[in-house]
Amino acid sequence: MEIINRAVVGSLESNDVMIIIEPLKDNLEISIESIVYDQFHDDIKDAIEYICNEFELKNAKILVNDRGALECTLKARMEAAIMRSKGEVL
Amino acid sequence: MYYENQISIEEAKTLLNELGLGIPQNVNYTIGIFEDNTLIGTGSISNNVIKGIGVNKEYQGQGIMAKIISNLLTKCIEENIKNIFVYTKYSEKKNFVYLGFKEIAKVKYRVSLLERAEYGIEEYKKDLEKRYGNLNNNACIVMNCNPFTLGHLYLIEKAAKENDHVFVFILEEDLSSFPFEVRYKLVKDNITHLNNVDVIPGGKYIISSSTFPTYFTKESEQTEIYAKLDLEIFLNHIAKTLRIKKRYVGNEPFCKITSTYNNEMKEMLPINGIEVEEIERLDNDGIAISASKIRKLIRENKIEETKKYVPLKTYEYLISEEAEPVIQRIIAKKSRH
Repeated sequence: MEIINRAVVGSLESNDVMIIIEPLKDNLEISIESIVYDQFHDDIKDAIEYICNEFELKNAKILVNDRGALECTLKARMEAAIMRSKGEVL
Repeated sequence: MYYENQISIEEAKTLLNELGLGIPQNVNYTIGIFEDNTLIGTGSISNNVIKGIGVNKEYQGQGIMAKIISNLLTKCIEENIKNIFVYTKYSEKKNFVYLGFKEIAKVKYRVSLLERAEYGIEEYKKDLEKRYGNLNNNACIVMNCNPFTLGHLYLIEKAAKENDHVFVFILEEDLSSFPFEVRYKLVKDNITHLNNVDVIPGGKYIISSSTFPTYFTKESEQTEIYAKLDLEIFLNHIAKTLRIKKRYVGNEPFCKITSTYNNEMKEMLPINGIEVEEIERLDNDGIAISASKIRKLIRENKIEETKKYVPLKTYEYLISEEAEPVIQRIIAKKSRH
């Protein structure tokens, strides 16, 4: 699937994550910032990639700014980001 | 506990004053964070610039700033703003760096100016490098030319004589009486006899409403800070990329904001290896020639009198049919621009 629009979900509040997703040609770029980067950046990346795979998303630029979100939150926000970028209301 | 609501900038004034922050002008959107009915935090967007962000001291440290920034950034992205700028307290800048903002200028420990864009200042510099990277011993002039006068011509001719190459930047913001297209064309048309001068649109990074908002509004408070930031951008980005060794500027007897800016320039540039030369505007009848004088004559319906202060191509434009709507607007307007 393709990203049509730029989309943003979430917030910078504690335990939340802000994700900005933008169109990109030929690559899936995931940048992660997190207040618990050292301990959990691999897990955060896994959660994001899991959802990308579910939606067969192969081309996008994804900026993740994590404020200590749980895996369920990461996945839910990522799914919302993808839906929003397709123009679906969520 | 706390709730968010869009408010008008008027409603945020008291809080901003308490925090010692300036009141942003030309605001399109303001968010307010409330506890019960009390406003405890606010932030605004003015075109593509995020500013006026503040949280009541008693409520700091609780993530309210994060709420405000999230809200404003989301709004900017939803509005599809390509280049988002933010002025923020130096201590808050890391909040923005985490979200893809890059610092483009700072006044140490006080203010930071950041930009979030796909084609931002780095891409702009690459473009300049591609076009003009082969030139050395360069001087520059930054002007509005609203409209182009004999004073401007004199300045460019002097610089062209004294340097191998001259870059003339024309302010691209369309907040002046004469539209950018007209101002730009008048400069180019009037300097065809000079072959070592390049006229370049100022873009977003040279005295634009993003980098120097108070130049275009009536407020002169905080002009010093904005001047410093604009000059930082000039020094660290523009002058470096174009290998500029000297900047010329006309002295400014009539405009306080411009003279503040010029003074900052004379302080900041020489210690960074760039010579500044301030030139007296060409005297004619003992009166300094300035574009504001031309606009004044137009407002007083004395266009014929402008003939002795402007070059031929400018005068031809002023009396042309094409210029009529612009002339009418100037006569009707009260602003200094």
